[in-house]
Amino acid sequence: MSEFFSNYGFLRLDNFLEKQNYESVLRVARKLRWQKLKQPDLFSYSLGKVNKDFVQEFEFEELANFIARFVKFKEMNLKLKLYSHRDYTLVQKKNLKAEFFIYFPILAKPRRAWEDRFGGYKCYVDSEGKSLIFPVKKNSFALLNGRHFSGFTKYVNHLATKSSLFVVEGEVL
Amino acid sequence: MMRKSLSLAERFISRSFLQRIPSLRRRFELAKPYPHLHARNFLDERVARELAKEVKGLRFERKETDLFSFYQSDDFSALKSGELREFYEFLRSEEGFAIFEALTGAKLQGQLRVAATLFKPTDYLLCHDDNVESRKLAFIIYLTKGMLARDGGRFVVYNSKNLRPTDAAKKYSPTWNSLLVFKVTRKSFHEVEENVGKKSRYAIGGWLN
Repeated sequence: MSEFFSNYGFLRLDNFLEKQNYESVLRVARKLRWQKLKQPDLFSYSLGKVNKDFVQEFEFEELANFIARFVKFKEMNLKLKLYSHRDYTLVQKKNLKAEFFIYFPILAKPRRAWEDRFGGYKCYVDSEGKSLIFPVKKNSFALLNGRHFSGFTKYVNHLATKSSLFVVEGEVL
Repeated sequence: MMRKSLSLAERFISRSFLQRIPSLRRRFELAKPYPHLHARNFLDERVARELAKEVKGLRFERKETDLFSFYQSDDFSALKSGELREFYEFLRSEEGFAIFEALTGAKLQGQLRVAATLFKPTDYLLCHDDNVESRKLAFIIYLTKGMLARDGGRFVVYNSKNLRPTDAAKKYSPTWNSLLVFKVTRKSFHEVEENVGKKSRYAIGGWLN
């Protein structure tokens, strides 16, 4: 994995969290308070407040140790974001060593999957204009080298109806 | 009896629009938060129907980035024939530019870029200012019938503060045969709402400078 990340600048892993851990995090996320944030020329999403329950379920230290296997960093910042219909982020240049995310789709109908045609997926572009798309798959994790890639969250369209996409997003400095 | 030949403007633009230009100019100049205008019955109705028919027969290319998802045709300079080609020739003529100068007060230098756009259901164009190159005016001519406010696809004009967009100031439905024109500046923030209806939204749009 380290070699892959070193060569290609990204890493993607499915079934990242243990099933029980994933479901605990999702359960806590459903109870979070969300604050709507919008700067129309940059982003629109809801930001969740990290609380004690979340910290307990998420195992930050284990995640930080895992990421340290690929990137040396001084600081890791986590954000809990909720993307629903009309939410998005646009490409911004950031001075990061790396960024990562984990998808937690919250579906209006449990048997319905989050489809690519809804939007909401992460897309990263490198300096040559080549793009990497990460389809929404529950419990999938991705780590991107911040020097090589700039990312955005594709606009969530009305096909998502009442489903939302909870994403744990992190920046590593 | 000899029939007086129509000027190019009279051939393409509706008489009622041509007669309203002075009052439309005042509306354009006074509009907030930046000079813009949405006016109905722009084209002669027969011309509008013919252009709409030809636009639907164009080849469209998918445009997809973080900022937008929609379809666009080739620039009309590549057209070889038809009413669309003739309309393009009118737009880039002295008469065509004179219409936009009379309507907006802008001093134009004769450069035009124009193409057709297609927004299918789920397509959108997020907030931006169009302020690139040396664009002075942007315009859109809407060629779809029956789109209601609940279908989305509206042109949204944004307020701004410190050169950053803040909230929506006005929303204009893509009414059949209407013209939307705005002055391109560092504050001309706007977006096209997502098409949440079932119809495809066709238009002709471009920039003048």
